[in-house]
Amino acid sequence: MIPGSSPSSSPSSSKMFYEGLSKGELYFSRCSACGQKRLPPRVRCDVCGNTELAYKPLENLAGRLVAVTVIRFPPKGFESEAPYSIGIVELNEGLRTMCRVQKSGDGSYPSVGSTGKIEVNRERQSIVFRASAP
Amino acid sequence: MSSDASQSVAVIGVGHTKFSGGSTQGLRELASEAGFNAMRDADTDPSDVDCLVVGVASGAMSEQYSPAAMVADSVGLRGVMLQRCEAACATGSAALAAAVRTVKAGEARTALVIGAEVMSKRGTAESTYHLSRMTDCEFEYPLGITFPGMFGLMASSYMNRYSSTQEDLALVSVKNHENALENPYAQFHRRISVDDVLNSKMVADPLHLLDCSPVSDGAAAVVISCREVAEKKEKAPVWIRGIGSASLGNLLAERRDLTSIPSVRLAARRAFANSGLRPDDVDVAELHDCFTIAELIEYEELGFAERGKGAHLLRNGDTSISGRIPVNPSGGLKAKGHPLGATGLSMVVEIVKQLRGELPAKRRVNGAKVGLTQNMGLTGQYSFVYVLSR
Repeated sequence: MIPGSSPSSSPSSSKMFYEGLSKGELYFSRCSACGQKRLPPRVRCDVCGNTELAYKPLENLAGRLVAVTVIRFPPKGFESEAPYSIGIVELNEGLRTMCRVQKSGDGSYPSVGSTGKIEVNRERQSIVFRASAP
Repeated sequence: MSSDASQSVAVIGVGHTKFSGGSTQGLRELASEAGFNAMRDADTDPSDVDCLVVGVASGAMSEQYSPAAMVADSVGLRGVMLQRCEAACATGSAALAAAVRTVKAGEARTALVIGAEVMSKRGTAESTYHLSRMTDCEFEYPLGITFPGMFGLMASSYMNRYSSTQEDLALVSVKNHENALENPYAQFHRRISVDDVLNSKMVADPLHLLDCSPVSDGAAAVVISCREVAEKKEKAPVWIRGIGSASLGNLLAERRDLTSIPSVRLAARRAFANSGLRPDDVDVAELHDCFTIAELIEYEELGFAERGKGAHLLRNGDTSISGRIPVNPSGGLKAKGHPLGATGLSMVVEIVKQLRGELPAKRRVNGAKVGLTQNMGLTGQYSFVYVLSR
């Protein structure tokens, strides 16, 4: 049964996500009704509509790169950062996220299958994947 | 949709402008050229048009917000039912679907659909900005992701899983550039080699510049009608036998499999179910090769190839014009150009001309009776498949 749509008392998804990053934490949500986990967190479960969700910081930020690219022609506003790498990381806890990917020590970008961990940059409210040394 | 014959809808006229990387004309001129050409081709007087649906994906890029009113004005249509449809790069197909439903519902006997986009007015960084803002603006765009980047991510995953190569991807571009040589509307008339693709600048690894469709200006239009109107026309109608559409979750990271695009498979299944036809019946197809990796995955989603084996079709020449299932005889998005709102309709224009047999011999698929278009928006969040027949 769909539990209707009561107004959520939580702030927006993005506020919850980015405020978590500014505290050095990567928050996800878990629906108290259907158990669905989401990263970034939702304030209303997108599966069942429930607004009672638990918000937790991920404890284990280790994961594996499942896709990776390097942006060489950036949108307006990102020119000074290019080139930069973006990947999709599958965390050991099962959730996936898109994030920036740090260059390896030898100046190359990690490839698909690399393992490592996500680091949270509080000042920039961003996350970056750093591959473990081979 | 029902396949009840009394509700059949036909394409009775098509129009198309030249696609280019820097038109001197604006949205108004391009839309009116395609629109009037479609009405002339259909032998339809503007006063017989009951409904106009306009497809423009980005008012910001075309520098005209709420563009349907301007487009209607450009073809002198006043008093008609008027709306705009938007589904990113599948905008043209979404607009056509809305028009077909209106005719099927009996609210219009004849409808005009115009898709147009002007993308070149601003520089690369600014057009990339407007396109990139179509990704999730809260969680994807802030990373600096672009659409070449999105498809680069998918390509990296596909190549890793299936041990495929950049050469495999390049074959899509080589074929589509070859086909565009004979299409006067195409943006590029340049034969390229696999080496040309691999030596072109890297845009978003592993995708090179020549793996990517260009920034384009252009318009395409079709006139559709109910059976009663279509059967009175001198030209043989091309019937819209089936439409399938489907969606997909928005965040790319939440997809469990980055090597497939399930909405394409679902849309195709629905279109075939509605049409009573099967993938084997398709004689010619126009597919959404926004990036070379997309055409490979689409072969697999449409059932033309097994998973991971899309490139085999190219190596065997199966998808060349003279092959078993010719794909993108127009040159595709890659070489014909990709003015977002026009693309889905441009595909239909090509299939209609193929089925009417009115193209020059070099790019005609001889004896084609059934054609398919597959158009998607973003990375498959919007998918449309049309099955058409004589």
